Amino acid sequence: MADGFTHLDVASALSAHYGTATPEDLVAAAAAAGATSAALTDRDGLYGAVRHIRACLAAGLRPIVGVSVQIAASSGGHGGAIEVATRGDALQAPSPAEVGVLAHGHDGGAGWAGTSRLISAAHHPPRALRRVLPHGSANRGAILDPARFSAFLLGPDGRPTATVLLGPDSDVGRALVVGDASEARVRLDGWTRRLPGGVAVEVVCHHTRPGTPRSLAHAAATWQLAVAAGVPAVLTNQVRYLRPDDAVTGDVLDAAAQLLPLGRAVAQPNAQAWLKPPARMRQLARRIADYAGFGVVEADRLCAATEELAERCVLDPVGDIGWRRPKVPELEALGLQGDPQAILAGRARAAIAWRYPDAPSGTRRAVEDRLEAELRVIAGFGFAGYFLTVADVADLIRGMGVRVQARGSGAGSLVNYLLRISSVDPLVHGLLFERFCGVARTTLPDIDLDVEAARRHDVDRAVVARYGEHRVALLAMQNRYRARGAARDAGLALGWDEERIGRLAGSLWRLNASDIRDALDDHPELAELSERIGGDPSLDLLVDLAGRLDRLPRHVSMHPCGVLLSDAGLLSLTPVQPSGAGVHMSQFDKDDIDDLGLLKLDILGVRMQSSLAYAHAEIVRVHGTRAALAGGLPPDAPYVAPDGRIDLDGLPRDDPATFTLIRSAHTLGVFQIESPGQRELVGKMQPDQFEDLIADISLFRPGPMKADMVNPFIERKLGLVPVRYPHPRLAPILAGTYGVVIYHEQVLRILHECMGVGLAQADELRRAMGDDMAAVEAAFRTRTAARRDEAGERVFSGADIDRIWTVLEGFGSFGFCKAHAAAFAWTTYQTAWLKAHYPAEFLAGILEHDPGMYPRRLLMTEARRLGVPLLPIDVNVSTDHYVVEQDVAGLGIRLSLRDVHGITGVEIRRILDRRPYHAISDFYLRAAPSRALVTRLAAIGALDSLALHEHGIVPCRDLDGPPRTAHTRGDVIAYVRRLVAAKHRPSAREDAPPLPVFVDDAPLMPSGTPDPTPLEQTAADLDATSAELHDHIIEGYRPLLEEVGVIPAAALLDLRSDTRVFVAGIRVATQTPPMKSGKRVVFLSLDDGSGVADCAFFTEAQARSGPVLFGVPLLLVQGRTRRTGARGISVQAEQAWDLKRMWADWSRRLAA
Amino acid sequence: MVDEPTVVWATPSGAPERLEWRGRRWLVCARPVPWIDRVPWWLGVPRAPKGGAAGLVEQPMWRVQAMDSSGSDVVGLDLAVGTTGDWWRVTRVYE
Repeated sequence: MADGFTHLDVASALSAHYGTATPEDLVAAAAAAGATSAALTDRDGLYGAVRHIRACLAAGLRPIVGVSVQIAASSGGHGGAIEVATRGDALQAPSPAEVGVLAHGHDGGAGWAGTSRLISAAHHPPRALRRVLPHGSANRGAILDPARFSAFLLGPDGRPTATVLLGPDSDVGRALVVGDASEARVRLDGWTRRLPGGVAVEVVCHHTRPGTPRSLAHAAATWQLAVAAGVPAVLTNQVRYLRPDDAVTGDVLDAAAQLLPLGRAVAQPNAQAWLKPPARMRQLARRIADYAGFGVVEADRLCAATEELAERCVLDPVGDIGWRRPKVPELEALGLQGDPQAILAGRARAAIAWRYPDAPSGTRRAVEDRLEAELRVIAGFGFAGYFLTVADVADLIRGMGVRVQARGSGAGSLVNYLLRISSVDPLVHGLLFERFCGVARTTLPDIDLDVEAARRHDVDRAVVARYGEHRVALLAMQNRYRARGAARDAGLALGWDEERIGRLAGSLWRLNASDIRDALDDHPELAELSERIGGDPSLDLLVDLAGRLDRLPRHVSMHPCGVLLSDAGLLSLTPVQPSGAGVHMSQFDKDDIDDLGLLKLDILGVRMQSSLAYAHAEIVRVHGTRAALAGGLPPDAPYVAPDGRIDLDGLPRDDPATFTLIRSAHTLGVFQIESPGQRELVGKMQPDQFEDLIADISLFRPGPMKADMVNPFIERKLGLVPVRYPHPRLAPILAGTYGVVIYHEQVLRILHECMGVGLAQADELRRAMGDDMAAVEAAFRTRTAARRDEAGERVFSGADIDRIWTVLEGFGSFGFCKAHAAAFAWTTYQTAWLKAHYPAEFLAGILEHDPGMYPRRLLMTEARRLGVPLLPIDVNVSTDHYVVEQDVAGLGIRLSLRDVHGITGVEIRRILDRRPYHAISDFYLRAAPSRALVTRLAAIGALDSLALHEHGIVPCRDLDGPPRTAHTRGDVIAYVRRLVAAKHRPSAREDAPPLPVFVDDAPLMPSGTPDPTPLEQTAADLDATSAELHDHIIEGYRPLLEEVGVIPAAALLDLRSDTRVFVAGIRVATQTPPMKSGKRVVFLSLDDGSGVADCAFFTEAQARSGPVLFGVPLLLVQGRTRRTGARGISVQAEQAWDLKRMWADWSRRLAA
Repeated sequence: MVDEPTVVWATPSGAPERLEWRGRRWLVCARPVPWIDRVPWWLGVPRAPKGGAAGLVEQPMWRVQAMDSSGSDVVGLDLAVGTTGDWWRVTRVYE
C-alpha cells in the first residue's frame, strides 16, 4: 500500500511492567489507521500472541507475531549496556543487548515453531549465562547466545524461518551509538553469516538526545550501515504504548520494575514510543533520510522494505498453528493401539455392570440408551482420544493412592461416570451430556479434576513422567493490578514512605484500581484515612496513577491447576518457561487454550480432599476392623471393608445422622456450607435429601441471591407456599426443585419440551440468553406456538407461553450447572457424614490440612464444643501432625508441634528422633531446641509431663487420674528460665569435659512457684501458637463483659427475635456479599468460645462503627437479634467497639 | 548542565536562528537538530488522569552550534523551546 504502514515492533501490556496497551486496543488502533496487518512482539514470550491473533481475525487484519529477546554478550564488543541516563545515581547492573525475532508465516508452522523453541531456550539459559539478578522485573531472566539462533531459525533447507531484527539495543546498535562503526559492521556480518537471508536492520528514531540510542543520528547511522552491508533495513517505532498520554503510565511501570521511585529510576528518554499513524511514520522516514543524506526515494524504499518483511511474516492461523483444531496425545502415549472410539465404547459398556450392579431392566435399558447416545456424539466430534486421555489421567492419580474426583459440567456425562472420572450418577440426578458437550462445540470440552492438595505436585510430576515433557506443560496465569497493588506501586513511584503506603493500601479491600477514588469518598471506614492523607496533594496524583495501572498485567505466574496435555508437537506450539514447581509452564493462559485446540485439564489441589484422605487414614489406623462400630454404622455396611477402610465414594446418600448435622447448622468444617451466610441458608432451608444440597449450593451465589430466588424455593420446600408449575408438562422437570427453576439442565429441558428443539441446540439457546435475550425470546415464542399435538391443537396457549417465558427470562443468567453443583454437593455430603460419624478423625483432618475459611483456633473451639478433647502439645507425645489419640475422656486430638511459632523442621525432626525424654534438662540437652523454642514450650505446658519426678522417684499414678506432679507449671517456667540463662548450653559431645550430667532435674527445680494467671496463660498460648490452648481469649475480658451484660453466642438461640443484646468475641470472618439492594452490608462473625455470633452491619451501623469494622480483631457489638429460621439466629448490629480499647479505658477508670 | 534564560528568534518552522544569551548575541551557524527531552512531571504536576496527560512528559529541544558576533566563540547548546513567546532556556553548554 502506497500510504500504509505496518508497525513491526510493538509491545503490549503483556510485556510486564513495560507495555501499557492491550493487544486488542493495539489491533483496533492499527485497524483504525487503515492497516491490513498488525504485529505483536512482546518481551521474552508469546504471552499476548493468541489474543493478538484473535483480535486480528475479528478485525479482518492479518496477524504477525514475534518476540523481543535479550542476547548474551560474546567476548569483547559492546554486548553490555550503555547507560543513557545522565543522572548517575541509579545503580544498575548493565542490561544485556536485545534483538527482535519475527516469525515467518504460511510455512506450515515452521516459523512459529522455531520462534517458540527459541523462546523456550532463552528461558532455560545454561549455567554459564545465568546471572545473579537483583530484584525487580526490570531484570529479565530470559537470555540467549546469538550463536544458537540458527539452530532454531534455519529450516532443513538452510533457509530462515524467521527474521531477526537488529535494532538500537542490539549489539550492532550499541556499537553504533558509541561511534564504533567497524565493530558494528563486524557484528552485523556475524548475524548475516549465521542467518543468511534472515536478518534485517531495524531503524528507530525517537528524537532522543543526540549521541544517545534512538536519536536521529543513531537512526541515520543504522540505516547507512545497512545500506553499506547490503542488508534490508526496516523502519519501526519500537512501540510500547498507544498514545503519548500513556507515557506517564510507562514511567510508573518503569519505576515499579526497578523498585525505585521516579527520579531515581532510569526513565525513558521521552514519550515518542507510541503507535504513530502511517503518515507520521512516513514523514519520520523522510526526516531520517534527510539527516543521513538520502533522498525521498530511499525513504520510500525503507517503508517498502518494511511492508515486504511484513508480508513475509503474515501468519496463517490454521496452517501455521492449527487454530481451533483439537490436539490430544497420541494413542501410543496412553499405551493403546487401535481405534480410539472402539476402545472407548468397549470400556464404557463393560463398566455398566460395575456401576449399576442390581439395576432393574428398565434402568439398565435407560443406561444403555444414554450411553449409546453419548458415544454417538463423541464419535461425531472425534473426541474419543480426549476421553481416553482424561480417564488415563484419573486412573494414574488413583493408582498413586490419591483421591480424585471430577468437578464441573463433566459430571453430567455418563461416559465419565462409567470411566470413573466422576463420582456422580447423572441419571439419578437428571444431569445432561449436552450441558457438557453440545452440538456446536468445535474445541475440546473442559474437565476439572479435584485431587488432594498435599499431593498435587506429585500428581503433576507423575503426569509428566507418563506422557513426557514434550507433551505436558503447566498453564500460565496473568496476575493483574488491583487497587491495593496499584496504590502501592503508585505510592512507591511517588516516593511515599512505606508506612504511609501501607496505611492506604491496607484499607483498599477487593477493589479495582479505577474505583479507589469512589471508595475514598463512599466508604465510611476510609473516611478517617481519607482525611488524614487528604491533606497531602500528592494523594490525588497517586490515585490518578493507580487508576492507570488498573487491570494491567503485573506479572505472570503458574496457574494453580491448569495442565496442558498435547500430542508430541506441544513445544512447537507453545514456548515454555520454568514454573518454580519443577514442571515447565506454557506462556499461554486459560483464555488462549481453546483457540489453540489444546487439551487443558484443571487438576485442582483441593485441601478438603486431603482432609478427607487424612481423616479416613486416621479412622483406619485408630479403629481398624472396628471402624463401622466406632462410627455408629451398621456392622454389615457394604461401604466399609472388613479391615476398616471406608469407600467414601460409595456412601449411602440418605444417612439420617448426616442430614441432622447439616440441619443443625453446626457445619464448621463442612465443605461449602460453613460460612455464616451458608449456615443461615441451611438453617432456613432444613435440607433432608441430597437433592436439597445440590439446590443449596446452586442458590448460594450472587446472582440468585440478588435476584431473590432463594426465598421462593425455601417457602415452597417448607410448604408455606403451594408448589405451582408454569405448565403441567413442565412438572416432571421442576418437581425436584418445588417448581423453581434453578439449573441450566432444567432450562435445557424446558426449551426442549416447549420448542421441540434438541437438547444440544437448547444449550446453545441458553448460552445465547446471555448475549441476546430478545432473539431467544422471539425464537421461543415462535416455535412454542407452532407445537401441535396429535389432534393438531396447540400444546401451549398464548398465556402459557407468556407465563413460561417470564419464568425463563427471570431465571436469566442466574441458573447453575447442576452437574457442577452435584459434584460439589457430594463432597459436602461426604464431609458432613464424616463429621457426624467420626467427629474426632474428621476434625483431625480439618486441622491437619486447614481447608476451610476459619482460623485454626476456631476449629479448636468447635472441637471443644463437640466434646473432642484437645490434648496438649507434649514433647514426648506430639508429632508434626494432628493425631487422634485415645484419652480418658474419649477420642481426642493431640495438638501438633508444628503450631509452635518459629519451630523449624529440623528442630521438629530432632525432637521426634531423640525421644523419649526423661527430664527437662535431658530434653534441652539432647533435642537441642533453641532458647526461644524451649521457653515457648515451657510456657504452653509442653514440658509439664517431664516434671513428674520428685526427688528422683516417680510417684505412683492413679490409673484413672492425670499424672500427678509435685511441681507446678510456674516451676517449669522458672526452671527453664534458669537453664537458658546459663552461658553455655550443656552439650552432648563425648569429648567435652565432664559437666554435671543433668539426668534429674529435681534438685535444681524450684518448688511452689505460682502458675501464670489465666490472662497470662492465654497471652502465652496466643504468642506461642496463635491459638488458645487453655482459656478462650475473651475470658480475659470477663469482668467488663459481665458489667456490660454480654451474652454468650451459644445462648442467642434461646432469645426471642428483636431482643437487644451485646455480644463480644474475636473476629473470625468478615464478608461483604453482593446484596439485592446494591448497598453494601458487612457481615462479621465473632467467636467467643461458646460459639459464633453472626452480625450484620447495614449502612448506619457501618457509619457509626467506622474503621473498627475492618481493622480490629476483638470486638464488642450491640444489636438486635433476628431469627432466620428454625435453627438460625443472627444479630442485626447497631454499633461495634474496639474491645481492647474499651478494656483499657475501663481498667484505668477502675484504678483511678 | 545549566538553566539559563535566552531570547530566541526562530524560523517559521520553529528552528532557532539567532539568540541572545549571557548578554551577548549569537548566530546559529550549523543546521540545528531537533530532539525531544523529558521532564520530571512527578515533581510538580497536581493530577495526571488517564487521557489527560499528553503534554506532561516531553520538552522539545534543539541542539545548536552558535557563534558569537565576534565570530571567535563557538559553542554547542541545548535549547529548550519556551512556552511563552521568545523566552527559551539553555540547558547545556558544550565548549
